[in-house]
Amino acid sequence: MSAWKDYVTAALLGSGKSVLPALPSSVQSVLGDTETLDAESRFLTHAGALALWRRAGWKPLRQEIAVVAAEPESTASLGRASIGHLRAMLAGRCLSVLPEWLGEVARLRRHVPPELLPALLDRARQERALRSLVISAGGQRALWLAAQNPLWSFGESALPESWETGSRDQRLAILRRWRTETPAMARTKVEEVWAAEPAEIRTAFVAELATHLSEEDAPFLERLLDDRSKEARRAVIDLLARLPASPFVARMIARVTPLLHFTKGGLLSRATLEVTLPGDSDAAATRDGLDPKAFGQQKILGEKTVLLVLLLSAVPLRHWTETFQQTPAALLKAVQKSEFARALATGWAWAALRQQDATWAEALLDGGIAPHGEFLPAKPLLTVLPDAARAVRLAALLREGALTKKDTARWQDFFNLLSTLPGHLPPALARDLLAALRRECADGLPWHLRSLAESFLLRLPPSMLGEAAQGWPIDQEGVAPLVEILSFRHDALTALTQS
Amino acid sequence: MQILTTEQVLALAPDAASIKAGQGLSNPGKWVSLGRDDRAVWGECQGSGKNPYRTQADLTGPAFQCSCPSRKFPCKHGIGLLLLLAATPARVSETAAPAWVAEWLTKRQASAEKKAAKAEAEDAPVDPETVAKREADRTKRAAKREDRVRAGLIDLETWLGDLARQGLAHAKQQPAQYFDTIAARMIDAQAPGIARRLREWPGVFASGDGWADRALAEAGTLRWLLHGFSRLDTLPEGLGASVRQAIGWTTAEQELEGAELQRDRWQVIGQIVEEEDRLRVQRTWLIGEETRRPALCLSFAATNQPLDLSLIPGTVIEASVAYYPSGAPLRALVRERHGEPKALVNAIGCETFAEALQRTAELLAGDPWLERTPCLVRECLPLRRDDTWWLCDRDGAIVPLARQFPHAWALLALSGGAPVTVFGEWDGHALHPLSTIAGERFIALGGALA
Repeated sequence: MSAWKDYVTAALLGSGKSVLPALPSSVQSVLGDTETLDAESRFLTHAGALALWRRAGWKPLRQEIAVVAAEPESTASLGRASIGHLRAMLAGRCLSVLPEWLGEVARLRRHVPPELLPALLDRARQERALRSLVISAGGQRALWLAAQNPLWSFGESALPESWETGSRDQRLAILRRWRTETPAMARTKVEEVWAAEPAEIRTAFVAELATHLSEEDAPFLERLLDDRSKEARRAVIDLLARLPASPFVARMIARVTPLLHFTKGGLLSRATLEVTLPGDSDAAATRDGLDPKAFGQQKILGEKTVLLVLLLSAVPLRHWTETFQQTPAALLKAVQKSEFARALATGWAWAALRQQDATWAEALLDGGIAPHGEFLPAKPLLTVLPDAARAVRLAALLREGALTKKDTARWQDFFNLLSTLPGHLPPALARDLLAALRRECADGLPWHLRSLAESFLLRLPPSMLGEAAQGWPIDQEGVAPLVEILSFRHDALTALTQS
Repeated sequence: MQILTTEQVLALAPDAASIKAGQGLSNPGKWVSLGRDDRAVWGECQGSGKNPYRTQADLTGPAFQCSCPSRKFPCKHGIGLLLLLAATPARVSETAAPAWVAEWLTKRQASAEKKAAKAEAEDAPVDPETVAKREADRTKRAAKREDRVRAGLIDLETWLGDLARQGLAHAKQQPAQYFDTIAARMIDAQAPGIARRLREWPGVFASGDGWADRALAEAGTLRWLLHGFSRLDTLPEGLGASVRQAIGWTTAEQELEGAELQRDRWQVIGQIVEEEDRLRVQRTWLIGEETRRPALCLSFAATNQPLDLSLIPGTVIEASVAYYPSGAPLRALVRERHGEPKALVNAIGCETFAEALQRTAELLAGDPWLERTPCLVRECLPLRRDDTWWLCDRDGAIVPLARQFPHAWALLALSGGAPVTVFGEWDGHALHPLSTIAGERFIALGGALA
């Protein structure tokens, strides 16, 4: 409407600087005569009438719109109580329960109410671990909504088209899927792009090949021993050492066999395992990763001891039990007095870890020889044990005082071990854990241990939560939030199954 | 007993901090005792002190009482108690009210009766002499105020004239003080309605594209208010009331005594609380199921003081309301309520924006100074185009959503690409949604969602 534009232009500069713009006749006729007013009042009177005229006659634009609606949900909506719990968590209360709760929502074939999806997706954007949980608990609506906002694009599964162009994470996700479904094809894909990739990506790709690793991968991995990157080569050796029939392992066996000599015990003498240290690495040995400086331990342990550890770590443990016709426990007993006892235990522990050998792991744990921690993460052998055996050993650690407030590092170690148990803790272990926590809380819990303590409580089986909320020294500092987690978790999980 | 839903309880919270704290207290473990009967719910909450706080809510109000020192209303304990009741009613067993609850309820009952008695006493006939004196006093006070307003509006006329002559580009460069001074003058002149509008001017100038259009429209609207005041004697009664209301005259509740009552089943369709000058203003919109008439209930409170909590979005109440006099009666007062509120599941709205905007035009014809009009449209689709949110009706007509509307993504999520009913306030430029009904679920959008 041009009359209004004329008025706005005049108003910007000041009404005195131009003549009074004309009004549309329909407005003019309603307004009547305004000439008795002074110039400014007349200007504003006209402008006010026009503004009202425009506002009362405001017409919406029109647009042709094609919208694809979300698929209908095949799951049930949540009850009122559960929606309340979700709102509470999104408002910051007991937020640590959210991942488990979302998992339960999906498992029970329910879906969260749509109006809370934006808040959940925003949270998932910041917390990678929540992403798949939000998508699966959000039903069809979550997929539909995430597709509307580029910030939430993690909702889409990575498309194979972006294998060469996608982000690092997308490419790894694609490779992971290929490797799970068609392992040989996945390897070929890595082989095709290998030369063009930076070292960091090459290393990450090799690590993905650990899934469905087989002897078929050996020729490709063997070639990679000549790769430029030390990190990539180390990742390659880690895989080759798990392939007992590979030429690489055969070479390692050939190198290590002359070094160990087992002598059976007699009536008056105990069995012994004599160790000859390896010689300096030649070019071929260096290519196979036998680098005395590889772990920075050469000054402390000696270069040749490091080489011994590296050799042992790449040899199938079966080789020793078969060659010497001894059980792992007997072999460990034989080396107890050896000056190389710890080096041997380290190499074998590393091998047990790579080969996931539970028998050796049990023997090493009971053998009383501590491996050199620098080569391996803390208490790694527990992760090799079957879940039940691991739970028993974790309970024993608790009884030995793994949770004492004075030693934060041990809490963290224990937590890491606990995280290797899938799902909820077995009830017996859970009970021991609760008893230990309650004991440590008797005179309050320091703040820096609270989030760890909280994560322990999130692992308790839901059936125990009722009893678990009882018997805490609730008045002590830091204890009330723990009890709240327990009772909130109990209420929130129970409500999901009831309504 | 009517148990409020979580959404309804959250709508009662005075601020986001209370919601958060209330969520924390909605855990039964925080409560030493809990109970309810057919009228009230109560509990003792262990705080930092030696004795637990005693929290109680009369659900017929709802009204709250708590022994904690918080000046917020309702306090976090009150919110927590009702959230707990909404989420896990089984944890709050029905039992006889303890003495401290019964005492409070009795007191409330007594004070309600006293108030009724007092109202009756004021209605009681007094001798003609007193009546005449009261009337004379009132007339004198009214005349005095009118004189002050008249003097103030002469200054406003001069100020607007200067503004028009010097131009909006000039005004845009003025410091905030330029507007503060004239706004303060309007307060002196007892024209607070104009003062409030003037205080929004710096915001209008800073509002980006189209600011000059908005500033000129506002200047013209104020100029028309001056015209209205100068002809107050000759205006029809309703329009005159609108002029007086826009300038800042208030109508006391007692003045509505004789007003006609409109009885209907009123859908409480939307609610929003805004801060204005250390004052919280709550706007609650009702729509009559029978008459389809909108009604706007206002509640004012200083920060931390209670707002009226009796109208809960998402409910339908059978009630009689009295409209304040106006050229386009909208503001109203709930006079009498009949029966319990019910859940709102299906709103009666316009089918198109054209229809809704036609109603807005009719309201503006009665009161050109209305700042917002209600807009309830069925089957519309939220959309995002070029970084702006729109609502599209069944005819393909689109209206923009207000930029400051915080829940556009939630509204989109609720629609899932299928049409939903949306209620909002239309300010002449954009729609600010306050609620939606999607798949028979009413969702309030005027406050926090989580």
